[in-house]
Amino acid sequence: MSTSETSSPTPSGSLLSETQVSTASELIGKLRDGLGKAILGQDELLDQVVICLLARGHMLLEGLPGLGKTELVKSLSTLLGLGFRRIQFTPDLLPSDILGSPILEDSGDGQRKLVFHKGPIFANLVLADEINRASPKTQAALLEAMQERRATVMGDSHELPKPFFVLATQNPIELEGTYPLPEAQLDRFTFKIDVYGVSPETLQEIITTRRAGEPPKLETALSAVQLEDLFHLTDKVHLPVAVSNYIARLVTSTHPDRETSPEHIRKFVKFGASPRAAIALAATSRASALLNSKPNVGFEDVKRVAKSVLSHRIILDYSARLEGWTPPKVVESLLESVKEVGREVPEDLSV
Amino acid sequence: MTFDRWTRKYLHRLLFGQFLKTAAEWLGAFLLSFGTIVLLVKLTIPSMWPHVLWLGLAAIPVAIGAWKFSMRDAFTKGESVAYLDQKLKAGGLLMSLSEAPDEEWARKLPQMESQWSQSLPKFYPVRFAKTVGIPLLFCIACGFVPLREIPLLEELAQESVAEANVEDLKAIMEQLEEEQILEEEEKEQIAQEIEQLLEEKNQPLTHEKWETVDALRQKMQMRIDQSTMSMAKAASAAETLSQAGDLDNLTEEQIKQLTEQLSSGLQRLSEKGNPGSKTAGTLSPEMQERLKQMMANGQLSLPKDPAERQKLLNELKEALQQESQRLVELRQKCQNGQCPGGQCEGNQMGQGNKLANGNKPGKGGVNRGRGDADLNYGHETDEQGIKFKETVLPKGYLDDPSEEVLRVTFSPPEVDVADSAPKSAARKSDASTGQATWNRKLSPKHRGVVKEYFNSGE
Repeated sequence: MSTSETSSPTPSGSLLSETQVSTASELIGKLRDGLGKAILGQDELLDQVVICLLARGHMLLEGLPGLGKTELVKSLSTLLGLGFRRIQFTPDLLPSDILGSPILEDSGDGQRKLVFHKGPIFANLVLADEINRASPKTQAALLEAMQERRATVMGDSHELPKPFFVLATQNPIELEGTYPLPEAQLDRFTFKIDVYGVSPETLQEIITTRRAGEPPKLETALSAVQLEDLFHLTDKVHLPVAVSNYIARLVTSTHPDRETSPEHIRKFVKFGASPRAAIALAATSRASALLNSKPNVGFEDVKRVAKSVLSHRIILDYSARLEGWTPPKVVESLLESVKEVGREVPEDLSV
Repeated sequence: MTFDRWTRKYLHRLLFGQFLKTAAEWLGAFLLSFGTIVLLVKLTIPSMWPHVLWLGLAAIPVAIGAWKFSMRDAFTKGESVAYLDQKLKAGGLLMSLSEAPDEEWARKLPQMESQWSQSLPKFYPVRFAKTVGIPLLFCIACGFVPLREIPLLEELAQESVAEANVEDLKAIMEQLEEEQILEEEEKEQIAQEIEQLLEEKNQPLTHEKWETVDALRQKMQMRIDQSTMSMAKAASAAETLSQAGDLDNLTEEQIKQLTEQLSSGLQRLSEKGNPGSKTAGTLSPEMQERLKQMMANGQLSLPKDPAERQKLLNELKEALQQESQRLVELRQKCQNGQCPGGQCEGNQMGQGNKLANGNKPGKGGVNRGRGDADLNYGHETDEQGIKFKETVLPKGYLDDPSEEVLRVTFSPPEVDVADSAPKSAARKSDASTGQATWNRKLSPKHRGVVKEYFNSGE
């Protein structure tokens, strides 16, 4: 199927056609298969990565060293054929090391002028490895880039290439000498995904099929245009009113000052999720639906992405830590408490 | 679209379920109120009972009101479609199609009618039954409560009872005055009391007033009784003298006693001062002349001739009996006919008391108590002046029936304290212990107690 066919405009207010959905599924399938070749036994993680990508969101991967976080991002860049830069965050890293800086150059006519030299941020896919090791000043350099998709240096704004993704990794251990990401920075990550170890069978497959742990060589699965088409199709996935109502109630319920919030939220949560979380939840739910070859979002799509979207946006109280509550556990409990439809069925009816 | 029909059905069921929720609460409240009204009407204004049932029709506007109220926050089509979508596991497709119809995707929905029909909510009105059930039972129970019976003259005011009693007393007083039964001083005193009661007849009837009324009535009855007894004795004496013929069978003392009784009765007749009226009218002119003479001399002189005397005595007896009968009637009137034959002498029930249902024993009210009940000893006699019948008492006996002489001594006998102790439990003799106590004569009913006392330590 040609690219023009996939990007044909969908009438406003109507669903994607079956053809559009199947084309999107085919393209997503290619990407998904490629990732599956590089990273073994992490199907759900790969799905989440694809969903975040389709939603044009930034992603924070957290996990122990050696689980393939960096390899995943590198594989993704190869499969997408996008410009890829890797920044290894260290405590002495400066914002200019990321954004770039103006350098005084001789223009040839005896004149000298400041010429802006782009930093590694000017790429489609930026891997911010061990992001929590950089100082807050350097971390803050990413704020504008992630939200506005531009970089401002010495008063001059420079647009970042499209698409632009920040895929960051951080290590939950070795916390000495690290700077935890501030809430404002965390909120800019659409997904925060916890990366866990793989099963013994997967490990066996890894050590038998890959010498020295080298991944197979991958080829580009999607062109930039195809990726852009996928973004458009994702935007056109229908979000029913009832589902958007569910998303709104879900995000609102994370706030402890709401009377409608569940008891454990009011007790353990200090700050709830921002409206940006609701936007991210809607966008990633659309992507999840498209990943499942659906023209519309369902409640289960919201539930699928809720933990990755909300868990890093909920700030828990100290009492929650004492009681053994973690953000993912709170989100799971929230999903059980908040009903899909805002009103209970009358007791005299059995649904 | 084909699914529109099912989404409408689903919505209608949800709306009906919502109505059932509100209706249960409203109907429950209505039934409780209706039952309470029925109960109140039955207990307070029974005459309104049949009309109250029309209030039951208010259930219709209550149901309509419940419907309107439940529709204020009714389920929307979107919500019902969301529920149906979940039930069909359509993954949001049904919701999307209801908002953006698409024939192509509509084919992905379940095509079997049975799947749709099974997805509809089922009615399970347990809550409705629980909420309405108890008020309904209460309402039915109220329907079975019997109507209260209103006492015939319940609304009679207390003041009218007082007035009726005092008026009654006044009427009796007038009759007693006419009969000249009361003495002047006594008459004035009673008249004064009645006058005071009449002045206070509009004030609440207190137990002091009741007691005053009773005392006055009793006093007047006592005077009537005395006069009646005097008349009866005189009539009896006249009869005895008449039956005695030439008086040979009677001793002088008996003749004297009978003559005194007869003269006492006749004296009361003469004291009335109207021998020419009523009772006196039944006597012959000769008898009237004799009575005048007796009034003059202070004693009755009977004719010497037995025949003439017998005729006079018969005439007197008849007159005295008539007077006695009149007094009995007056007494009954004083008792307001409630105690014929003098069976309840202490009963002073009047018209007011009768109306207040106070003529039954034990129902005299909190101020009157059981004093109104009959006192029956079981041995009363109908004879005039005698309350109880004569009863032969059992023959007495001694402790030692043999009465044998045991021995003769030269000194006074030694008296055993225990033997000479009185037979009552409260002994006046010295206290004794041990065998002496055991040997002491005790009545059989006390022996068990004493034995139990001494055996209690074992």
